[in-house]
Amino acid sequence: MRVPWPGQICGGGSGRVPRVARGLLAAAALIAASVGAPVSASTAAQVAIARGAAAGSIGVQLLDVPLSAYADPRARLYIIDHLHPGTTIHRRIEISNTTTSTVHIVAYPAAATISQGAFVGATAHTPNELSTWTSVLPGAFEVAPDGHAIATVTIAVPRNAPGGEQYGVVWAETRSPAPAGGGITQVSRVGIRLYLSIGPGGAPASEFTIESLTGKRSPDGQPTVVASVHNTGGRALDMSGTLQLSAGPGGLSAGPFAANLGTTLAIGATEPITIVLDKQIPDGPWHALVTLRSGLLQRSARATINFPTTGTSQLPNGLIAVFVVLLLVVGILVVLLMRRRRNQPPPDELGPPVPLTPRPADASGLLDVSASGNAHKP
Amino acid sequence: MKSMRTRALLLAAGAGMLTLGLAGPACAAETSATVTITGGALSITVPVSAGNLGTRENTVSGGTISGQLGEVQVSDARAAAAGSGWVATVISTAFTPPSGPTIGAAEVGYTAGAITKVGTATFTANNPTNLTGVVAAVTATGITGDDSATWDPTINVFVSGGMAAGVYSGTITQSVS
Repeated sequence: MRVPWPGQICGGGSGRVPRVARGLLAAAALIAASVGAPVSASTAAQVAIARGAAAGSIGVQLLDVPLSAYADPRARLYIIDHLHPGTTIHRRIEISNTTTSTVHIVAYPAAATISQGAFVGATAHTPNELSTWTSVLPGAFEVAPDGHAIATVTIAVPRNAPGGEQYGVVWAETRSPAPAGGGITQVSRVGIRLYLSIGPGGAPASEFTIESLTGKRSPDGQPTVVASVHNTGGRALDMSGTLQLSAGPGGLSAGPFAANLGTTLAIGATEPITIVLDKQIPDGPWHALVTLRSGLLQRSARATINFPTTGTSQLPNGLIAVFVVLLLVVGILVVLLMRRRRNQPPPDELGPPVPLTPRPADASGLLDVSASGNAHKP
Repeated sequence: MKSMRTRALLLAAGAGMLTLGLAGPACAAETSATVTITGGALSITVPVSAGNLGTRENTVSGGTISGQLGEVQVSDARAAAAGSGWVATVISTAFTPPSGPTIGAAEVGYTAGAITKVGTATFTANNPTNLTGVVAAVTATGITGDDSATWDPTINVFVSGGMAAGVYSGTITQSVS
């Protein structure tokens, strides 16, 4: 049973919640559990007002890019570098406040992972090796309305640092005041990703391959191009790309369509790419060209694809041919065997034993077909 | 003629010294040379007190309290290259009453609802049903130029039967990078 919120019974926090049945089993149905507490009965109005004023945000942006990576679009968004053990780098970041009041913002590094195609920053101050090498100064600000502050991120890679790529995020965080009497505290964080490769010599090469490119039509008739991309290099990739269809029915062309895939591909990972097209795209055949990129690295794959009107997936033509031939052969054999059975003389008139009778214990599927009329193997 | 050549040599030498003078600090220190960029920021709404998600009476079989957390807006003015993206994640702590057992974050779900979109990007809501660990809430892919996404998430908390009466407190963190 729901009490429409704000529930007056919990208006003043726990002290004003009915205690009649506290400690009793729930059958009494008198205990009110409240998740997040209104400070007063007018909480709903307060929240509504606050929502209306929610335009203000905190933002973060990277100010410095290594000269060597200036052309790389990823390096303008994230701190991406390859460092030798024992190296120290500095990058400035700008933290902004677009609200109409002063906001307390803390800045700190924390761990991150790449899972299921997404770059995910760990909760709170969760450390990893990279975050312990990273410092942000100053670490806390009072940022004025429409103001900004500049902090310096320093990454000092120790001399004995292990090789490989590590991930982290430099976060700018602000939180709502803890509601009086209990309730939900909200925290907002916005961050700059760190992709740091450690090792001697130059940076490990980035590379990926596009494996398989097929067309299918979803059950509701939506044509879809499915490909899979495999990160075969030594760095994580932030993937994007397009699909172009050409040489279609009547010489039609279509696209480019944006390829929709998980944003980040871990080293060694393979992720699917799905490109959903308009229902009015004809079945084909089409000449499909998919072009994917991460930073300055770009790869393409071509294939001739169809969007079959029935069924969900398109088998390669060769496989379909083999399947049809097999079905024909089975059918002919079945017919032949049935005829042979019908023409067989009674057992006492048998001459030399016919190889097919008596049936061996491990009778083949074809023999079973004639005996039981069942087209399947036991 | 001779003096011109000398001047040219001197200039070359001067330029060489200048180059050395500039390159020196970049090489000697343990930092690489950087250039300053002027993009915009990636930003997220400053949260307000979420107040009350809802109240319900206890029942044997338990039930769900649903309420809205308050509007979240992520805007990306980084002038990112075509095809870039961002991931907004969410995590919750357990909800703790003044006394008695807590409601675990595994009982807390997040539904993004309608996403208001500005700019060219594909926004995908993940609608996680367990906020124990950091999990994607809304993902933006295929961004071209600046974009923003605004949504008003609904938090669903399953309250099992027999929970103590009281105000349950917890922290919900939304992050974007």
